[in-house]
Amino acid sequence: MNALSPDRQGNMAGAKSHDLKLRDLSKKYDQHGEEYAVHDMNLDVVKGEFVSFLGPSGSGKTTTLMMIAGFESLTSGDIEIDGRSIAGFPPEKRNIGMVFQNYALFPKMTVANNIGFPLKMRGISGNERTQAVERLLNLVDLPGYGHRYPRQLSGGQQQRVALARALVFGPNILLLDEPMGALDRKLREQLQMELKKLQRSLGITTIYVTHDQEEAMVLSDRIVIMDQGKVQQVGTPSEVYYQPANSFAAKFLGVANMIAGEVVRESRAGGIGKAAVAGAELHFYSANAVPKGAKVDLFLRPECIALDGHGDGADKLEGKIESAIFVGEATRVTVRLSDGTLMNVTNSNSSGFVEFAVGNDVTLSWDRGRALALTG
Amino acid sequence: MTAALFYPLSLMVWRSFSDPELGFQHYLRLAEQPVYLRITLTTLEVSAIVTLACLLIGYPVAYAASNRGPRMRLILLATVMMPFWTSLLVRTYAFMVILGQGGPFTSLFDILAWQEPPRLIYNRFGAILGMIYVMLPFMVMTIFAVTSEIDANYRKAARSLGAGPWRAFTDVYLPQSYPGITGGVLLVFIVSIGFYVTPALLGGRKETFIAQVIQLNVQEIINWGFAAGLAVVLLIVTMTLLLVYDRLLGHESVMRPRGVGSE
Amino acid sequence: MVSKLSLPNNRISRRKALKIGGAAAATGLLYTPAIHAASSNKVVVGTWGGTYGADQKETLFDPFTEATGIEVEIINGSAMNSAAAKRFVETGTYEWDAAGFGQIEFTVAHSNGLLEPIDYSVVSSDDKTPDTQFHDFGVSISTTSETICYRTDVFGDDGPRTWADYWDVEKYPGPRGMWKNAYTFVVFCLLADGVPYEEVYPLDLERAFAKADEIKDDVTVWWTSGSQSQDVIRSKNVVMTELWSGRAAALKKEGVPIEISYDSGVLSKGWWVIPKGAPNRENAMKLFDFIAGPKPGADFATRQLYGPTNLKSIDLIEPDLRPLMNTSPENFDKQLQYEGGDYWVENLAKVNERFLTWLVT
Repeated sequence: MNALSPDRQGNMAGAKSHDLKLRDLSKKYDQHGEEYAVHDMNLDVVKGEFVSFLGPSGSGKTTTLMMIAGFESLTSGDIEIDGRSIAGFPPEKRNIGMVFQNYALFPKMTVANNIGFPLKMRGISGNERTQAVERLLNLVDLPGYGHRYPRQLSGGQQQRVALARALVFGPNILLLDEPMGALDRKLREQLQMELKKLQRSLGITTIYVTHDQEEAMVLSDRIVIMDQGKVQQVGTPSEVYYQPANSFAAKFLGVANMIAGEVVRESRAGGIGKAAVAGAELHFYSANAVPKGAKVDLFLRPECIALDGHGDGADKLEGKIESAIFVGEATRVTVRLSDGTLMNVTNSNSSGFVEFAVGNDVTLSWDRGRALALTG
Repeated sequence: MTAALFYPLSLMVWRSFSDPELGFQHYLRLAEQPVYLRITLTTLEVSAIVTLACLLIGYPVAYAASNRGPRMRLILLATVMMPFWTSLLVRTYAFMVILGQGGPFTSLFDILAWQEPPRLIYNRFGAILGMIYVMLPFMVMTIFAVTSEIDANYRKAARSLGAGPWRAFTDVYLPQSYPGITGGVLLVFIVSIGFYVTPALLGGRKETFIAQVIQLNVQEIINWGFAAGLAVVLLIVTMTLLLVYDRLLGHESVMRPRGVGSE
Repeated sequence: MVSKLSLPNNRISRRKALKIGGAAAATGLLYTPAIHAASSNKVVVGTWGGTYGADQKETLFDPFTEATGIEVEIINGSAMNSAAAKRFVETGTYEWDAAGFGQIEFTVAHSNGLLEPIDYSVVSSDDKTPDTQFHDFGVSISTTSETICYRTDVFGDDGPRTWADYWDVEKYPGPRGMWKNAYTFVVFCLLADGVPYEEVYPLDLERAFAKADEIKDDVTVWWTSGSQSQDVIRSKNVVMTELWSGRAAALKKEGVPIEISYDSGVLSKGWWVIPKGAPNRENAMKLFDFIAGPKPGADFATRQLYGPTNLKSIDLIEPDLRPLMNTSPENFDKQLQYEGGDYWVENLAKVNERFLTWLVT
């Protein structure tokens, strides 16, 4: 066991990093039933990576986390750390650090005793323990708070203590279960930054469960989007944002424009095709081959659409402006297409403020092939 | 309201010093006659045993009701609360039937025809058993009120930090349930020392409690001054216990746990 | 009817007594004082309530009202002992005009001057047995006896009949029951030791408690209530016990296989009394005149199975029930009838304390 300690340069990178593999992981709600809370999940988390499980409630993200921690049993599959299965080990033997949703700081113990608790459990006492606790308090920027009790701390401070407690004993993996839900926005943003920084400097493999897609994008190296127990997509924030694997992923992250249509010219995998959409024929890009005649949704992010029309080869659609809301750095415009689809466009004001009148006709345009065809 | 409570109490205390004559005669008699000390000790001793037994039986029940899911909770609480539907006297009489001649226990012995069945009633055992039966719901409900509020995440956190199941219980869960234990112990003990009916009906001659002697002096001998003196002694014993308890375990054990992240 | 004990000390100054009485009222006995003034057509009576009170109403009070037109107002459940009488007399506030007292209580109350003397021109001797019923300060209509009962399915016809038998654990083995009550138990000890009736009082406590030691471990149940006493022998938790005669008779009538022995029975009477100065005392005495007659006495005895003090009532009772009555001729003469009188005034608390000490050691 290695309590976190700085190397000669004062960096905390002394601890070894570990990888995490989930293999065909499944869990049924009820042993004898047929419904799965998590179904056939596979994931390779690289050493030092920050991965978020993102999804709505009931998606299975917390259940998966609990299986990694050892609080839920597996129906089938395996969990490996550094190639060794941990599924047979009880939680206290997995050397995993966990931060709970409500922090679960032991109310009858001081902050110092809370942080020192895992060390006590490992038989570390005296000076070694005191010093480790102090190091961690400094690390989370709460020096001198050791004698206080959890109830005397603010939400943000409690979270930091929970983090310190989860890290002090040098765990292999760090798990966090929606720890920022109870905090206000400004505090959350600040803590997100701090957490990211800390994780980077420690290099500890981290799994973070959240339903907040913005949070997931800020924090993660990769995001695992989950719905109804199944993995929908795994990818970096930009991959997931611009190339969602299906309409669920598309709609879950940010605002998605989806225009229904039918393929008129087939595409190969990773290639461009054409579809009849809202009275026009537009190009699309697709990850997989899409045959002619297939029903597709063309997917576009609001900021990818221009309202002033440009260039040749750009795909265009006509529509009528329904609303225009100024939000500072941009104006959010909704445009109704001829087939009734409502488009959301974010028009940046970086080149100056442009006014849009409700009821006016307008041309929507975007670069050729920017639209992604989604079949699922 | 405190005044309303204290007025009759102070009248009673006054009476112990003034009826029939002003002076300490009742307290002198209490001190001189060894029987009263003996009865007081018996009352305290039996009550302590009952309290301990209720704690040992009641804590696991409250624990299970708090932590084993809604169905178990319902079953356990209903079982514990059901005796409250019947009066104390009926419950005590029920025990007379169960423990006495012709009851299930002695009948079993008769069928198996070993030897004389051990006597379970009209002795200390019967009194204790009957009192446990009556007091257990109080213990369970008091502890349950506290343990049902203990977040399940605490123990999970402790486990994730390296504590085995037993350690997680003793170091994290148990301290948080102290207010419930305190409440239960005090409640059961204080009520037990005032008991009259159950020890009278189920106990033997030695299980004569203070309350019986008070009753004797109030209704039969009509020496109210002396009865008041006895009651005052009981009151002092109770208050002393409360003070000792508080001193020993501190306010922490009496105060409830605050919610996590309550800021 | 249960004999009650009361204050031994009769030398209490009026002022102190007032204070006590006031404090007693304040400390709260269980009822609200019904202050009533004299009214020409009623009398207020205190009872124990329950079936006892109901039987009293049906066999004594209602017939009285029918016969005389005087209304009987019933106060149920209030304390009926000499302390209550004392309180009334001292404060001038009377909750009831008349009530039935137990033997010991009556002794203490009248010796403390708390009772109204009975006007025997109002209470006539017609159809009554003055020898048993009349006293300067009270009129008796019913009695109770302490008897020994044993199970015939254990001892057949040859069961314990006297206290000496009860003490004989070799001839009559088995668990025993006894009333947890000092002043009857001590008397039983002396009777068991062969003390003749006329020598029982004043009590030789040393002798009594020495005898008591012999039986100490064989008394399994020290019962504290009438229903408990019936229950323990009905359920065979004891094979013999002391029982109040009314309870014993009721059990036998139920069909429980027991035999009742009056051979060393102790008889005591219940006394109807009037606290001194009660507002409706004249009507109260008219009530006594009526209820002391043979028929009401017989009716009440038939219900409660406590023998009537009016020996002429016996003839009005059904022949089947007569052997069950403690005042039937066959039973009456066997029993100790002197209740100790002044002895208890002096020694009640002392005997109680000694008994308690003996009991728990």
